[in-house]
Amino acid sequence: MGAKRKKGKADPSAACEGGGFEMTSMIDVTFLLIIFFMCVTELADQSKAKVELPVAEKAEEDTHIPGRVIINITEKGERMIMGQEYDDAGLSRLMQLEREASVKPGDQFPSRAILIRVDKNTEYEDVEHVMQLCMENKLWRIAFATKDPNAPEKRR
Amino acid sequence: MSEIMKEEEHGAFTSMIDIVFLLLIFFILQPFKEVDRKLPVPLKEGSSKQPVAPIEPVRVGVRGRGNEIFYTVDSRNFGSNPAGLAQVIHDRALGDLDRIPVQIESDPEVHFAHVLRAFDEACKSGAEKVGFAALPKR
Repeated sequence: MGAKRKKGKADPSAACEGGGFEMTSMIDVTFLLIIFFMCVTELADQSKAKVELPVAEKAEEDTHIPGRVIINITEKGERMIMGQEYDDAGLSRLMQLEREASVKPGDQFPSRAILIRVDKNTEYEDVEHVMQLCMENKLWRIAFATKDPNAPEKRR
Repeated sequence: MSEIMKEEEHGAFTSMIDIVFLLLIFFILQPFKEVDRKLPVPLKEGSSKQPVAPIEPVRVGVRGRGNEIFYTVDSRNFGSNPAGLAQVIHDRALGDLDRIPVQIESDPEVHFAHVLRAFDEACKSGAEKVGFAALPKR
């Protein structure tokens, strides 16, 4: 960034003279690429499907828990995990694996809660069905994702 | 000498503009990064150890379908606006919400936002034990 740049028109051959190249532009481009990929990976989080979350005032800040299962329930009642749709059997199998991974020997309760992200316009019976599956697989700890009440409303 | 100074100033400006643009991009993209909040829900069997004697819960109903709904507290119609529901739950439990559980009962076709709102109001009332009633098997 500290290298000098010539005023006026740049001579492209000048950079190549003596085998050197423009370090400043190289660093600029590298920084831009880093920022771009950081933002893209953040925005394209596979575990979070596009759902309009309901608002709850008593909700607490969600912290990232590595390995946690996130179930997304869309407006139509589809159950999506990491971009894939799951039926009852598939969801049950996944919950059994989650139970094995999150319940320590001798414990009754899983060490981490399943996060369920439900669209605000989903019918309750679709949500109740997933809660039922959690109970059948002895995953007693769940949490519903909500939206910050102070967050601006999204345009659809 | 003055020419060199001018060139150096120009060079410093370029990096400055680069940094300003980087910061601009960063702050423009910041609102897109949405952070979720969460409402923990203990499920029925795992929420308590062997109960000594069953306690009659405060039953909060969400009745109707879609967005055309109304709330009930112990079968009494509360209307469609949930504001003030927390106070009614608190009064119904005579302030003993450490002991008396609150149960959310909902019709199957009600939109989830209304069910969660009832749950939120129950939490706001100060209830320690808030849970969902299971729908009858079809």
